[in-house]
Amino acid sequence: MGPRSKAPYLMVAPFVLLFVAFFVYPLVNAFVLSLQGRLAGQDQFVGLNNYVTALGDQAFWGSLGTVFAFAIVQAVTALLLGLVMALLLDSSLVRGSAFFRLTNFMPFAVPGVIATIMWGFLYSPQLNPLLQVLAPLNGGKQVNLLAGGNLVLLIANIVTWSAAGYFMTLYFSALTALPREMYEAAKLDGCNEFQLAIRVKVPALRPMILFTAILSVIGAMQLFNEPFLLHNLANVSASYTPNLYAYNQAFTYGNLNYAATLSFILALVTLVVSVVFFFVTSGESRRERRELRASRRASRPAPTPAASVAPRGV
Amino acid sequence: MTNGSGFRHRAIGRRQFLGGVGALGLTAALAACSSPAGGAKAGDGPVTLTWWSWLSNAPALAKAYEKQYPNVKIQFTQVPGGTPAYTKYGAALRAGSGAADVLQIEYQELPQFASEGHIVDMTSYVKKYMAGFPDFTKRMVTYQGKIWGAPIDLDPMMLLYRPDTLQKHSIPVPTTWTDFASAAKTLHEADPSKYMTFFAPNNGGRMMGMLWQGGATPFEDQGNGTWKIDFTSTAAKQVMNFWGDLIKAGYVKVDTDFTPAWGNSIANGVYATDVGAIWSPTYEIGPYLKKAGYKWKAAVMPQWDASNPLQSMWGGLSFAVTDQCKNPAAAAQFATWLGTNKTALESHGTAGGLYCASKDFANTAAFTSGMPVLGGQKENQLVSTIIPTLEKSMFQWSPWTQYAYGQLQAQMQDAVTGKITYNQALANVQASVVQTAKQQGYKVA
Repeated sequence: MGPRSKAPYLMVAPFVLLFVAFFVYPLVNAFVLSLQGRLAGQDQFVGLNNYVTALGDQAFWGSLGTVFAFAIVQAVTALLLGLVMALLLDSSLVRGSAFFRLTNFMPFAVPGVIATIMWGFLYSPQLNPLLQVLAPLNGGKQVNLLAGGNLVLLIANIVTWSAAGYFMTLYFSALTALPREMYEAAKLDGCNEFQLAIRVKVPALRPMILFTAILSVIGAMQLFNEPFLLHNLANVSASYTPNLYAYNQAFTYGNLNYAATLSFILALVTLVVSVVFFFVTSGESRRERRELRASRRASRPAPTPAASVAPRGV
Repeated sequence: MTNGSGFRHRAIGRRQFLGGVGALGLTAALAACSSPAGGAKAGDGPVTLTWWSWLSNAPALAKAYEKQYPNVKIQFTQVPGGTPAYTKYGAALRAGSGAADVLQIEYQELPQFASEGHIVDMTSYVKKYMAGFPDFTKRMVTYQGKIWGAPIDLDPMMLLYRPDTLQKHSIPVPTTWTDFASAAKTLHEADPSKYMTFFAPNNGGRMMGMLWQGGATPFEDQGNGTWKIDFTSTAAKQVMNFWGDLIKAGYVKVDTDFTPAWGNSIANGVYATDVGAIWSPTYEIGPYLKKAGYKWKAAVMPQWDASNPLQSMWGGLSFAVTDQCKNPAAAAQFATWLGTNKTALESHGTAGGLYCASKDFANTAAFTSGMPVLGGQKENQLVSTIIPTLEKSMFQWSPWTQYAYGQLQAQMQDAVTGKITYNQALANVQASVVQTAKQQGYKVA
C-alpha cells in the first residue's frame, strides 16, 4: 500500500514545486513588499500605508478607467468579428473555408510586439502612404493618427486585429463539434442559413462566447506591451494602464513597494471583475441547465445537443 | 551632453524604436545574466573594470585608457541611451549583482541612484580634480554634501533655427521670448504650413529645461531630509502659459518629439526653430537631415528678461561607480579620467559632440572646430559665452526627477488638449510630486 499511496504525490510534485516557486512564492514576496516602504533609503514596515496611497491615487484609477474603456471597445469588436467570421465560414455559403480560416488566424501568429511595431508604423503618416492619400480629406493637413487622443482606439485596433482570428478559430472549432443532425432538423423546420446561424448556432456557442469574453477582459486589464511600445511613437503617459504604471513605479521611479501594491490591487480588481462578469453573463444559461435537468428527470432521458456541447466548467 | 540627454520616454526613430523593443526582453533577462563585476583586487595584478555607457566614442576611450594604464582592462558594453539605460541599471543594482562597475548617469538621475544607495560616494576620489571644473558642475554631481559622479559635460539649452526660413519672412533671430511670440505669429500667418517651433508634451527633460530657463527652481534640498518642492511658482506659470498661448493661437504645433513623424517635419522645414540643447545638432536634428538640409544655425536661448539673462541645461552626463564594484578606487580613477584627460576631452568634443565641463576643454582643438550640421558654425565658442550665466544658476535635481518628468508629461498632455489649464497642470504636478516625496519618507516644507 505504501508505494501506491506515494505515487500520486510524486506525480503532482513537479507541478506543485513549480507552482510554489513561480507563483506562490513571488505572490507572498510581493505582498510583503507592498507592506513595506522605502523611507529615506531604509526598508520599513508601513502596514497598509501603500494601499491607502493607492486608493487616493488618481493616476492609478485613471489607468483603470483606461483599461475598462479599452476592454469594452476591444472585447465587443473582437468577439463580434470573430463570431461573424466563424459563422460565415461554417455556413454553406463560403467557398475555400480552409484558406480563409488560415488567413484570418494568421494575425494571431504574429507576436504582439511585432504587431504593435507594424501598426505603429502604419499609424505614422510618413510611413503609411494611405494616410498621405487621405490628407486632402483632412483639409490638406497631414493625417497623424498618433497625435490625437484616440490612443485607446489605436490599441484596441491592434489587439482586435490579432485576437479576432483566434476567437474565430475557437468559435469555429466549437461549431464543428455540433451535431449536423441539428442543422438538418432546423432546415427541415424551414430555417434559412441566416436563421440557422442566429437561432441555432449562436445559442450553442454561448459558453464559448462567455469564455472568450472573460479572456478579453482579463487581457484588457493586463494591457502593457502595446502602450509600452507605442510610447516611442506617441505621447503615452507613464500611468496609461495599471501594469504600465506598476512597471514605471518599479523600474523608472525605483519604488518597488508601491509597484507591488498596485499589482496586488490590480490582481484583486481583475478577479472581482472576472467573477462578476462570469455570474452576470452565465446566470441565464445556468438557469436553463437547471430547468433542463429537471425536465429530463421528469420525462424520458433524451440527448440534448446544447448540453453536450457545453465545455465542462464553463 | 549626448545622445541620452533628455531622451526619456521617447526614442529617435525607427532604429531606436526597434532598439527599445529589444530592451524589453533584455530587462527581463537582466537578473539572470550576471556579468563578472569587479574583477581583480587592487595591487600588482591586472584590474578589469566593466563599463556601461551609450557614448558613441566609448570603445575608442576604453582603448586609449588601456594604452595609458596597461594593467587595467576595460570591458565596455553599449547600453541604450536615456530611460532604457536607467531601467537596466535599476534592475541590476537592486538585484545586487550583474551591474557594471562604472555607469553613465546624467546629472538629473544622480540623486535618485544616490538615495537608493547603489552608487558609491566618490568624494574622496574626485575632490582633487574639482578645481578643474566650474563650481556649477560640482553642484550638479553633489547630493547631500557628497559627490556621486565624475562630471563630463555641460548641456546648455540653445535655440536652433533655420536662417533661410526666418530671413524669407524678415524675422530676426529672437533674443527675447516676446520677440519669439511675435515672430511665431508673423511666420505662421505668412505661411500656414510652417510653425515657429513645436511643443513636445512627451518630453519631460525638455520641459524641465524650459522651466529652469524661466527661473523656476522646482526642487530645493533644505537639509535634514526636508525639501522645498515648487512647480507653481510665477516663473513656472509664466513659461507654461507662454507655450499654452502660442499653442492655442496655432502658432506653435504640438508634436511628439523623436518620432518618425516629427523627424520628417524637422527634415522638411516645417519648424523654423527648435528649443533644444547644445547637442541637438548632433543628436536631435542632424539624424533627420540630408546634407542639403544642413541649413540650421545655433543661437543663445531667448530671454524672459533681457536685463537678467538666465540659462538652463537639458542633460549633462557623469560617470558613477556602483556598490557592486570590487575596486572602487580604480573605477573612480577611470571615471575621472573620462572627464579630465586631454585625449578624452578631445574625443568627447569631436566624435561625441559634447561640450566638456573641464576648464581644459577650451584648450582642445575640438573647442574651436566647426559643426557640420550647422554649416561649420563654431557652436562651442558660442556656448562658452553663456556658461558664466549658466554657472550662476542655483537649480537642483531631486530623487524624484524621473517621477516629475512623468507627471509633467501626463499633465501637459491634458493641458495641450484643453482638458485642464496650464496652471492646473502645474498644480497637479506639484501635488503628485509632493505626495511621492512624502511617501518615500522625506519632509516637504
